[in-house]
Amino acid sequence: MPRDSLLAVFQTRRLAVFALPRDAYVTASSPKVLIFRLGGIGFAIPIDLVEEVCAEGEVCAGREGRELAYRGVRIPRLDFGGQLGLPAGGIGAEGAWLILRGTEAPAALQVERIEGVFSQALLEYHPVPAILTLAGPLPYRQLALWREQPLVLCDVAALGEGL
Amino acid sequence: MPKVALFQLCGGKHALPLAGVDRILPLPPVFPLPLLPEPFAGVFIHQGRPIPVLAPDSLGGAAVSQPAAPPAYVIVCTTEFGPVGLPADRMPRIVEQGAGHRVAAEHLGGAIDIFQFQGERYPFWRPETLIA
Repeated sequence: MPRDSLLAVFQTRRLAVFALPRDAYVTASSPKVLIFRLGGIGFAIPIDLVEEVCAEGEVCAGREGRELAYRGVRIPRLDFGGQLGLPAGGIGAEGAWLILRGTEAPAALQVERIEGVFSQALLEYHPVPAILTLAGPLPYRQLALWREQPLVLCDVAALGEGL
Repeated sequence: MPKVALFQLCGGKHALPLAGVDRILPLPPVFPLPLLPEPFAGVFIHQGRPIPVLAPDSLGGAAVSQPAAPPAYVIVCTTEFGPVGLPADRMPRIVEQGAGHRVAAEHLGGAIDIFQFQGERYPFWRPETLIA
């Protein structure tokens, strides 16, 4: 699947299309971000895109692992880590589920650990260094520096492309 | 007189023109990022900026051996696409280019020639060839 469209990554014939609202982006009107870890890498996502945070036992994985039972409804499970080439198997006792708000339906993302919710004023945003994109675009455009470490900013604009 | 930085990486010996080096500093923590293209290993943070760093095995064509310890320094080079870090096993040695001499070489995987200094041969890199 093309790397330049995370929406294509999330689309399957069996699951509802999951698309994030186009206007949901980290701006001055989105004052907080949720920081989580997956594959050992830190990510930041606007808190407005997170409908709920669930503990491991609060959602039920489907038989094939592609869907979850959430409040009596089956919602798609995003293989975010797999499509980003992150090492699998890191979900432990600190694992949690993010129920992400979509335009059509919510979707679930399993994470290794949630660092917390922070004001975006604590983050410094930088574009992904151009030298890293010489071979082709990456499916994320910005990094956020937090406590002297980089976080991958979940790229809402990239997710919205391809609709 | 132009100067040359002589450095070791994974046991291989290399040379860089000092004019293309922005700074040399102890290697900070390197953070991997998803789907980075070769030869990049991740980024480190310096003065509030993420700077890409090459993987220790990125200088193909040189003698490579497993290092006893991870690289201790990083050479930050200036390229037209922004800064890039090149790890080094230890603090590079800085010498005047006139103290050695450069000879043409082939099959070095990107190095433009060889810098010979005190009986040693160092593949001589330009920063832009590191990311070619």
